[in-house]
Amino acid sequence: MRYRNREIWLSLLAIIVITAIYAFVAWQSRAIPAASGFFGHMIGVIGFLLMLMTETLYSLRKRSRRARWGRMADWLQFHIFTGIVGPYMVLLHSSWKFNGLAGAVTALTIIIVLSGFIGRYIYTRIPRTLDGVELETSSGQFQASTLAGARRALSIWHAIHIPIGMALFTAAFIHIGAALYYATFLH
Amino acid sequence: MKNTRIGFLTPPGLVASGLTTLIVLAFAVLRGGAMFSPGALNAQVNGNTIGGYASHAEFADQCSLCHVPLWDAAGMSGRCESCHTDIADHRSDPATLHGIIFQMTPDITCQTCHTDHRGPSAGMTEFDSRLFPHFMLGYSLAGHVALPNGSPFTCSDCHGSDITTFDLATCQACHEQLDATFTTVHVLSFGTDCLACHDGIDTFGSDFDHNRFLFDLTGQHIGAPCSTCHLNARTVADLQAAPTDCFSCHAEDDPHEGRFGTDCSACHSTDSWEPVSFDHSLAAFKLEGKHAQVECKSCHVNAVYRGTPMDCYTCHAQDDAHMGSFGTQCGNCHNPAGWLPAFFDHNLSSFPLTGAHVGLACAQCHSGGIYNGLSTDCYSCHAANDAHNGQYGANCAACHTTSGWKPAFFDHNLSGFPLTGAHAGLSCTQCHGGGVFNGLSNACAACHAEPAFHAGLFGLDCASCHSTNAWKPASFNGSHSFPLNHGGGTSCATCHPSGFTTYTCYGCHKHDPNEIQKKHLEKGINDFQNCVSCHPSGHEDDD
Repeated sequence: MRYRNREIWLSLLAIIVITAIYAFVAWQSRAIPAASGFFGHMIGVIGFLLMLMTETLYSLRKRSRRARWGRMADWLQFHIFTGIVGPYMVLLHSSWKFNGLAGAVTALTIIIVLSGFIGRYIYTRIPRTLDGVELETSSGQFQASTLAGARRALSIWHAIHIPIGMALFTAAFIHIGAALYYATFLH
Repeated sequence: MKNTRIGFLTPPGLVASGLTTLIVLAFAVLRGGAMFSPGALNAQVNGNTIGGYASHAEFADQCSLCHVPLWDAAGMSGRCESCHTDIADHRSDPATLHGIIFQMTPDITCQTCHTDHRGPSAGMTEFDSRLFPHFMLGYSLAGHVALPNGSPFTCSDCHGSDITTFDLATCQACHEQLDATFTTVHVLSFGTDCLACHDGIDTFGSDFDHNRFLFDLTGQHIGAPCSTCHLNARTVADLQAAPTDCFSCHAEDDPHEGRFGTDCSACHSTDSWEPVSFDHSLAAFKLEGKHAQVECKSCHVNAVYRGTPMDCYTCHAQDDAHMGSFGTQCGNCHNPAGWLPAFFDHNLSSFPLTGAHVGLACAQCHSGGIYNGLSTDCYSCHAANDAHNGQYGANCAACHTTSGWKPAFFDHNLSGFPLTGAHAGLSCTQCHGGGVFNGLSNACAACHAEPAFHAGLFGLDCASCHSTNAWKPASFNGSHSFPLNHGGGTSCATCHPSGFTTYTCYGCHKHDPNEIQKKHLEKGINDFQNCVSCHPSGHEDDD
């Protein structure tokens, strides 16, 4: 594999850069950036948009028949990158408070990321082409039973991961709506 | 058939989404909007209660006390002011903090500066003090942007917990931490009412430009402590009232003991007391000519400068070559360039110089150095020049002018012998021979001897028959033995053709001698030569 774990290293680099900016803002204002401040809002909005991309782009590419842009492996890397960096920014947006609905959203975010790591682990157990198509015939490296177990595990993981994600985004949209209602429009 | 739905829109996913929505709705029904609270409400109390509540935290579950429905146009600010009515009242009062804010930014909401849900002890007021028009409260924050450690000033740094009050001691306490020595001295010099002088813009310190005011700081004044001149100043008015004249501060430094007046800058600069440069031309007595060269003490004896007399004679009495005879106004003739040349305008005296007098040397009249009290009459000088030897008196000007002795003009008509007729054209010497002008006789005969043909018959009173116009015609009105009107009063020569001692009657045509002879002979009168003897009245029938 040419770029082994490239998405992980890029994610780590992005996290370092974001953390540095966060630390600089915190040092300048002598306080933890509030979720309602300009910087807090910005990392929240960008983080959520990255999470939305995580949720939608990879899935759309995977199922689209017409727009087959890019290789599936690259889209998965991008999916993992946004899936790590987006939640990290949302975590910083929380200003380390976990009460109310916003706290639940943060908790679900952490859960979905951890779940994603597990899913990726299972995913890598199944040999695929660079376009993500499962190889039907074993090269002999895998035992047939192992492959079947991995596929079963991936199916179970999907059944859990997707509802958690849906719950997360539903709660996140309600949180965003409430923030607009109470804070932005001052009602 | 391959699944073409987006991955997360699976039945379990949609169920999870629906369940989440139901859970949120359930919480909303059971707990209101509490789940949307980003944090605990403020629990600080200041002793006041509004509507029975001492803090926001006491109604944490009643979101609707602050939050309003979507259709409420007033928004949260309306709810704020429904409880905080005092702030609502301030909207129309520009003398208040909130009145100023509302005036500056009418569309501002309470939430622009005030927030909550940040914990029980968190501050509720947060705004950019650099944007707040603090100067409208009489104090600018221009000089209070950042604390010494670089962090921005907050309201509480000066106002403590109550933004609406300010303790003057805060200034001193904070500034003593910056510079204890300076602050202590400053407070001792200018008092503790910092705001009486400071408006937040100026510092009156190193950035303060004293030259913006009437009194420029130059020379030694630059380094002088403020309190040296602004003694006991407690307000800006006190500072501005500091005198700007030298003497107000430097009276005790004056070694001249006031003799030079109070304007030290006339001689001294702010750089130092010495060197001194006195511009005497600024004084009432300008130094010109010789005066510019003499030493100060020549005039200012005993270092007395003020009140030195400016008249010449006070200094120059001993120099007076005229011994006072010209008075004390030396400047009338002399100037400071030197005693000589002197220029005396004699025309200002009672004896203006005219004619030949103009070119004379002074000493020709003023001999012996005597200039004052000389007589102005001619004779006092010209007695020796009198060609008339005093005969015409001492008033030369009656005949002569100052242009010269000659020509002279004598008005003979003013004398006892007015010149009329032929006398007017005569030269003086025709009558006044031998230079004798006075005492001559007015009698005609003094000049005019009786002619022989008068034969002594008419006396010496020529004027009884003659006028001054001419000898002829003459008119005789004296005694005449024969009627003068005989024959119509003709001329003397008719009867006296050859002299007054003889006569003839034949001068007239009626007295033809042949006719007379014939008539007299007819009557037998042979002696008829002396006509008057028989005709004394000239009539024919006289005997």
